[in-house]
Amino acid sequence: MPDTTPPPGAAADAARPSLAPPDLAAVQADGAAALRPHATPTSVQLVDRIGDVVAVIVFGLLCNGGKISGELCVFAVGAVLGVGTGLRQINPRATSSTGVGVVGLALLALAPLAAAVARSRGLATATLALALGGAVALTPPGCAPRLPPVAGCAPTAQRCGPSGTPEVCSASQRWEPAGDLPCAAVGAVCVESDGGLAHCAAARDGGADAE
Amino acid sequence: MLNDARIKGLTAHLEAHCQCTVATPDDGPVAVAAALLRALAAAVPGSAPVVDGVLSHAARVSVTVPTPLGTLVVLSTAALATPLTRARTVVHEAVHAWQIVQLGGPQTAVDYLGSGELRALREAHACVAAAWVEYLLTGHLPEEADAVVASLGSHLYHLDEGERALARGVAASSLATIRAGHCPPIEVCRVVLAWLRAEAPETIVPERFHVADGGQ
Repeated sequence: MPDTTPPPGAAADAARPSLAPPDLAAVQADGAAALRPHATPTSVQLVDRIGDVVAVIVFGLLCNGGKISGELCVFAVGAVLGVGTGLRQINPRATSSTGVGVVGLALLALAPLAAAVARSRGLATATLALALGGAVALTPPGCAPRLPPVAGCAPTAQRCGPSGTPEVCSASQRWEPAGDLPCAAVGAVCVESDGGLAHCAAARDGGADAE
Repeated sequence: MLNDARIKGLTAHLEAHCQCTVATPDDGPVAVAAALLRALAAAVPGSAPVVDGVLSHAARVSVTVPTPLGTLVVLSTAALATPLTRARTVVHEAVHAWQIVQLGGPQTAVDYLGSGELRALREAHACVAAAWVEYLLTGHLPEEADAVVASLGSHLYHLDEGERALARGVAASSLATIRAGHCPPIEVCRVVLAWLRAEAPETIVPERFHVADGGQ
C-alpha cells in the first residue's frame, strides 16, 4: 500500500505520483467477471509453492550447517522468493516493472526484520526468517478478494447503507462503503442529499432524509 | 501547524492505535534493507531492474506492508520534507495499517493486490484521511473530490476509469460530510481529531472542529 509524497515545495494538495502494485489475480469473490491469470491446476500450483518453500528451507539449512555462505544463502532465497515465487503470483495484466516492484517492496519490508534477527542470532537464522516471512507474505493461502455481493446498482450512485454508512455503487454494481465507520460513530446520521450524495450530517440537517 | 515533537506524538499515537511501526529512511533497519537489496541486485541476474526500481522510488514512495512480525510503515524522504507532508503521509499510511488490523495482513494484501475496486476503495479512504488532517491543520479543503484522490490517476495504481470513479465518489461523500461539520466516518480520521483536540487543540484551524459536538 504505497503512498507518495510530493517533493519539497510542491503544493500540499497537488496530485501525488505514486507506485502501486498490480492486480495479483482478479478473481472476483462471487465468481462474476472472473479473470484468472493462469489456467494452472491448483494441485500444480500447490506443488510449485511447496517446492519454493522447501527450497528456501534447504538453503537455510545448508547455510546453518556451514555448507554455503550466508551471503549466498540470502541471494538464493531472494532468487527463489523474489524472482521465482513472487513473479508467478503476479497477474500478467500488470506491467512487469510494477509487478517486480511489488516483489521488491515485499523484500524491502522483510529484510529489516531479517537484519534485526541477524544482529542477534546470525545470518543463517536471518535467512530462515526472511524465507519464512517471504513465504507467508507472498503466498496467502487460498484467499480471494472479499468483494461485497453484486447489487445491481447504478455505478456512481450513492445511498445510506443498512449500517448507517454512506455507500457508493462501484462499476461492478456493488455497494462499497465510503468509510469504515457508521455515521453514528462521528455523532451524525447518514443522509442522502437531493443531488444523490450520501454523507454524514447532523440529524437536524438531514430532515426527512435522515435515517 | 504541528511542530516536530507533536508530529512524533501523533505518529506514536497512531502506531499504538493501528498496531504498526513507522520507520524513516534514516532508520538502521531500512538502510540495512537497502544495502541488502543492492547486494541482491549484484548477485542475482535479472534482479537489478527490480531493485533499482524499488530504491529509486524509495525517495518519494511511502509504503505500508504487513509482515509476519507486524505492520511496517516506511516513510519516504519526500514525506519528511515538511511537517504537513509528514502528517499527511503518516495519516494516509495509518489508514492502511488500520485496514490490516481490521482484515488481517493476508486478506488485506489479497484484496489490495487482487481487486482494483478494493484497491481504489482503500486508497480513497486513505486519501480522504490525508486531506482531513491537512484541513484540520491548515483550513484548506479541496473544492472538488478529484483533488482529494488525484494521485490515484497515476497509471501505477492500475485503476480503470470505473475504479477511479468509485474513489471520487468516496471523496465526494467525505467532503460533504466535512462541509456538514462532521468528521469523515473513517476510524483514523476520528482518532486524529480526538488526539489533536486533546494534545494540540490550538493547531486545529477550522473553528467548528475545536470542540466535540454530538459525540464526534
